[in-house]
Formats: sequence, C-alpha cells, structure tokens
Amino acid sequence: MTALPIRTLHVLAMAVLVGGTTVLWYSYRCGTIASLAPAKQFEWLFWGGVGVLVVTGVGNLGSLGPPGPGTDWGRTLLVKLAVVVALLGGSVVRTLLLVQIGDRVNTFDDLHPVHRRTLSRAYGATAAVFLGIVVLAEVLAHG
Amino acid sequence: MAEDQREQESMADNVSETEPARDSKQSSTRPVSLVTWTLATFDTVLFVLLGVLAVHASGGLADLLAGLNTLVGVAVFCYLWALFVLAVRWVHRRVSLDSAGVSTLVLHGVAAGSVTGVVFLLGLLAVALVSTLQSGGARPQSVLLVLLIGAGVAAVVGGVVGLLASLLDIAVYGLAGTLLPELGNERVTEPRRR
Repeated sequence: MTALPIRTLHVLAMAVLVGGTTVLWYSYRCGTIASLAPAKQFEWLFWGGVGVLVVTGVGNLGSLGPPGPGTDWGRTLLVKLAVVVALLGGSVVRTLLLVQIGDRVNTFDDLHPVHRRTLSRAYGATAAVFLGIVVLAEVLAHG
Repeated sequence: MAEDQREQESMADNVSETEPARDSKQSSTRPVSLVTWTLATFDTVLFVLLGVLAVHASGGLADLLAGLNTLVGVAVFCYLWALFVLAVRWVHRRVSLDSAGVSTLVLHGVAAGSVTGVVFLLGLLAVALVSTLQSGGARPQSVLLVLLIGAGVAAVVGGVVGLLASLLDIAVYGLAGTLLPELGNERVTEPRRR
C-alpha cells in the first residue's frame, strides 16, 4: 500500500534534483544567473531531496526484495549504490565550494566569471552523474 | 565558519526592507546554516548507504528489508537525520571548520556522536519498550540492565561514527577549499548589471 507513494516520491525527488542541477549548469554557463543566491537556495532543496531519495530508494528495495549480488540485477544495484556514494562525495564538495565562494564575495554582487565557470562545471558534473544513475535505475526497473 | 558568523552578524544589523535585505534576514533567522544542513545530511545518507551497500554485498539485504515496515523505516531514518542535524549544529556552534584544529573538531565530533548514539538508542527503546512494559512482558530490572548495557555500546558506536564523520567533514571542507579557484589581484566581484 505504501509502495506507490514511496516510488512516486522517489521519482519526483530525482526529477527535482536532475532538473535543478541541469538548470543551474546551463544558467551559470550562459550567464543567465550571475549571482550566488539561486545556487545557495537550491542547495537547501538539493540536500533535502537527497535525503528523500535515499530513504525512498531503500523503501523501494524493500518492496522489490532485491536478489543477491551474484545476479546481474544485484551487480547493477551494487554499481548504482557505488555511483550514488560517489555522487554524494562530489556534491558535498560542490556545496562547500559554493559556501566558500560565498564567504569570499559579496552576496549581492555578480559572481566573477572564474567562479561562475567553476559552479557551472560542478553542476554540469552533478547533472551528468545523475543521468548515469537514471540509466542504471532504468536497467534495474526494466532489465 | 564565516557563513555562520556572517549570519549572526546580519541578525544584529538593522537593514532597510529592500528585497535582498529581506532575503538576507530570512536566511539569518534559519536555525541551521547551509554547511550544517549539508554535512549533517551527507553524514546521515552516507551512513545509511554504506550500511545498505555492505549488507547487499554480503547477500542479506532482501532478508533484512523484508523484516522492516516501510513507515517504521522512514520514521527511523527521519529520527536519525534530525539527530545528525542537531549533533552537527552543536559541533559547528562551538568550533569552526575553517579555523579550529583537527583534534578539537574530532573531539567535539566524538562527543556529539556518543550522545547521538545514546539518544538514538533511547528513542528506539522507548518506543519498543513502552508497549512491552504496559503489557507486562518485561521486568523493569531487566529493562534497566538492557538500557545500561545498550547505552554503553551505543555511546562507543556513536563515538566511532562521530570520529569518522568529523574526519570526513574536515576532509571534504579542505578539499573544497583546495578546489576554490584563486583570483589573484583581480576584482573579486563585478558591478551588478542594471
């Protein structure tokens, strides 16, 4: 009974995170966003979304009854979990990088192009890894 | 941390109610800073994910999850998440990630981890034991014994988790600082476009 809401929440959280990081990557790359404020606001949502993704992901596994690591499915899950751990490591560095940029510059001023480029790359890398996770999730869902 | 200090300073400032000033005021009234929220969530999800990875690699994930109720699992995760946020906030209010020494940070991390471990266990036991005690399924003396032994074990486990989490937090904060591009003598900011 709880499986459907949990799965829906998982997909929605993923959509928000992939969409948000992609929009920020593109916006910093093109200069549409020039200040730090939108990224700082998004980071609150990002980490909240990560928490939701992990708890709903474990909930999904519980309803699926995952086979052992010796099967193809189990190996793919192992790879997916490892990629998620790597994504988390990269994301925490990105957020702290953003915070440290914020400590150096005036929040109300536009970002220096070097900082903008750094943020664009960081969000681009995050979005790319997220898309890889989506592909792995597709493989797990449909074989 | 500069972010925390700036937030505290901005609370004291009387700024006019322009749009950016209002945004600043809103962020300054937050009980948790972005760094605290980020590191606490990172530590929590990493703790859970590494556990899931280890159990899956050993082949016991299906059996473990089959015995868990989804709503109970969500509640336990949220409880753990809240405790991590409180623990990291406690550490960050006392020591600064960018200026305090590693040993000071680690000691605070171990202390916060030990307390968090005990509180986590007590929370779980309180829920589990109240119904058992009410139905007369357990004697209070044996409950007390379980509590004492469990609290000791939880304090040690929590201390180890706190130690590892604080070392990891210091490492990622340092790594972010290393990756921060240097601007040299260039202007740090550009004038706002009108």
